[in-house]
Amino acid sequence: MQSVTAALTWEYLARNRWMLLLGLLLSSPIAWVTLLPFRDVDLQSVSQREVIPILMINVLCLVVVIGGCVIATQGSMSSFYLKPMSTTAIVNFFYWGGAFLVACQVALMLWMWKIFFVSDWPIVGSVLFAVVCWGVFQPIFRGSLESLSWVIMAPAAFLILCFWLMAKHGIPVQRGGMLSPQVHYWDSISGSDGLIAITTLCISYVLTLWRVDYDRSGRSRRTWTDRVRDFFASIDARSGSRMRLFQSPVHAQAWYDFQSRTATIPWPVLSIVPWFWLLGIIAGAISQDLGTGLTFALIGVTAATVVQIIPALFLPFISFLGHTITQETTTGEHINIKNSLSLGMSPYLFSLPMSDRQRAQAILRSSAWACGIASAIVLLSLAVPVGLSWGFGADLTMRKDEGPVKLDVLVPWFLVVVWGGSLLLSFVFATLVFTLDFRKWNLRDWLTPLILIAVLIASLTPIALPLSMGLGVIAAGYLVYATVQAVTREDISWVGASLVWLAGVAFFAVLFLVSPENFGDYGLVLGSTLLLLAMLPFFTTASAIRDLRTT
Amino acid sequence: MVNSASVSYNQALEIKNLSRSFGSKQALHDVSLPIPRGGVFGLIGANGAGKTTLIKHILGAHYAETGSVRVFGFDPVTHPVEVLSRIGYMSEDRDIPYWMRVQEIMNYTRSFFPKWDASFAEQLREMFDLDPKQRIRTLSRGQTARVCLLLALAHRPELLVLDEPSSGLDPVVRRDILAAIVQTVADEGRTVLFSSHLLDEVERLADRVAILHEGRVLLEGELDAIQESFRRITLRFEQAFSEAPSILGAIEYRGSGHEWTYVCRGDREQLIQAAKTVKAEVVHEASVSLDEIFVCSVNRA
Repeated sequence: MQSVTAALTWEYLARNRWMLLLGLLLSSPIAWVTLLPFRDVDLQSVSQREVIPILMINVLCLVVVIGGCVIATQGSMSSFYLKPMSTTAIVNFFYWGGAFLVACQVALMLWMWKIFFVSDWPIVGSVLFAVVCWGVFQPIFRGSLESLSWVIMAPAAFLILCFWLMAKHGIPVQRGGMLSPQVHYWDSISGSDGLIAITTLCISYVLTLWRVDYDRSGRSRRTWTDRVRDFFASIDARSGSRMRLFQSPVHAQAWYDFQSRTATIPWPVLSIVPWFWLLGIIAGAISQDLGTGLTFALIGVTAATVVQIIPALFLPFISFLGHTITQETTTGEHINIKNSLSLGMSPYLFSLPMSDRQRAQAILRSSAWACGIASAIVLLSLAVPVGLSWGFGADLTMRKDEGPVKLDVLVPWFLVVVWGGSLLLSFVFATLVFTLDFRKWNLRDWLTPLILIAVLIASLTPIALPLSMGLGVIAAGYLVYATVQAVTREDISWVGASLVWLAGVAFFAVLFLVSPENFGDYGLVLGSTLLLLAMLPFFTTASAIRDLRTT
Repeated sequence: MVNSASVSYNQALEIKNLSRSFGSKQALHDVSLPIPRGGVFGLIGANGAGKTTLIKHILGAHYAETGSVRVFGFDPVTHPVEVLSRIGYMSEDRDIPYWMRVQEIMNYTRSFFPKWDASFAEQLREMFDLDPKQRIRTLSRGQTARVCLLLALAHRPELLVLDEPSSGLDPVVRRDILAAIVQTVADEGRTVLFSSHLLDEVERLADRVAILHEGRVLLEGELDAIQESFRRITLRFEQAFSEAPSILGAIEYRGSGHEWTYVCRGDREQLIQAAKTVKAEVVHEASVSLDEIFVCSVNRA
């Protein structure tokens, strides 16, 4: 290697290069889910006011996902502390190298979305915003990870950045601000933008350097945030005395699966919703209008609902990356073996007496819990503004010109498309690892992701409807086949299978009643296909676990 | 098809002509092992000999490519609940969920075993000095091994399977594990199968042993009988030799000139007779440790 930078770049790209790809893959579904309904709409003819808030939410999600994946790619900074490198060299490499990767990835994704969805979407402002976000969060996340100061600082920084992003899109802090006439794209970088960015990045760099230098010196510190952490640790320890007893193996295994795997699904919703409510309170206080604050909160709830898909999608990707591990035998030969740990299954768990059917029930139950908790939080967050507007007589009109869009119109749309879609999609992803075998390359094992991808790609073609219908028919055919197989193998009882099908038919009936009027035939096909894929794990999980348990 | 009569099966384990390969690597080759109920069975082998692969077949984690595996008469792949509910297993990797607390993993594991003895589990926890509120990730290696042992023992399994139980542990924890094995067998007449490459442990505890090498069983049987069948004899020859003279049953030798020491396998009288035929006098005779038997067998293979 010619230089330390070259050696480090090679090291982390060789080790973690797939995490970079993961950032791109994880951020794609958000855009698909939020922008797909606009696919059939001529965006040029629609006022930018409808589209810009959605684009902003997408940019925020993109920054979070890609920033997280770049941090994961870089790994822990502390692993470099024992290398003969100056702290400045380490920080330079992580800080500026990461900023470069974030800028490239965000630009690439925005360029792709621009091609697929919104042709006049400017890239440069969003890229600058992403780089500034990267810089601002470095002194928070780097350094000693033992400190919980980021719990306080990260949301504060996030709120400030959100207001900056809103200001750059001309969104006033007032009722219906996002839909007001002065909303515009952030299509050019002004001198003040450059000055803000350079100043923020430089201050963040100095703070990161200070923080890492302090951390590297090994000095102990006990700040007030450490006291907060100790307080939570003491509660944690006290809760240990009331540890639960499980009623059955399925109950125990579902608890384990939830704790070790699927609890990541409601976590982003739980984290994001309160901060958007805080944002709403601040906006409400500034504008002196309850309706404005509630509108801001509602946008946050929408974002949180979509974001719940990301950790669910993360589960199969992590499994995909870590599923096959190479082990060196004593003869020096390398063999590939299944890494069941990546699926939350260790040899210890498989040594416990439990049938594959029971294990499948536990996994489905845990996935349903996780997705249900996230969706329940969203529903509760929707109920609060409705209750408040009813109680205080607040006007929740989204805009005043060109006819109002009231909440009673917004909520059904939100429920059916975003809430229902996110719920089903996160359930499909949460159970996906148990419906396909990553080592096999036959069609059956890859059916769910292939159909999902194919339906989305089909939406871009002129024959979107018949093509999607065809794919839906394939999914339905496979579901019937999987049902017969599962019942024959006694992976599910006749009663259980009938109940799943009955629930599916009931959901379809609701979809059929709602869809044609509101979302058209394509929406109906898309929803039906998603419903079929959500039913699939009930019939395939036990079989997949059997394959996983015994090689 | 196995029926409920299998519960009274007189073999704890019956492995017949078991072979298994991973890619081009032959992990097990025509392994046959009958392990009767009761007693301690030691599985000896160097790293990579196939011990863990064999144990995974017993647990139903691997299909038998050829041959068969029966645990109390049940196929562990098709009857996992029947087999695993009778087995207490402690893996070499101690791969228990690190995020749980000691009490949590006890409660969690308890839900899978109807025969879980809560008072015995508590007794073991106190004996091993484990804090129920402590998270497993904060435990030392020895404490983690003790938790694993507790989980394997608390449901009073009919078959205790320990994969390298003492690997990397300090003498105090090793003593706990060995005591648990002894107690399991002595108090309840149950079966213990443990793999190890620490041969002094095996020699102290095992009634029967099998030596595995590169997936093949080199030796299998009662430990005493195996040790009886090996002798170390030192022979004095009338004339000096630059290379060891050939002796019937000799596996290994060392020495020079008139005096050579052999490790031989066979009947003692036959060995002495064989020495006489080459005009040698037995000047010293001793039994052979399991360690020497293992090294000789592996070198010969």
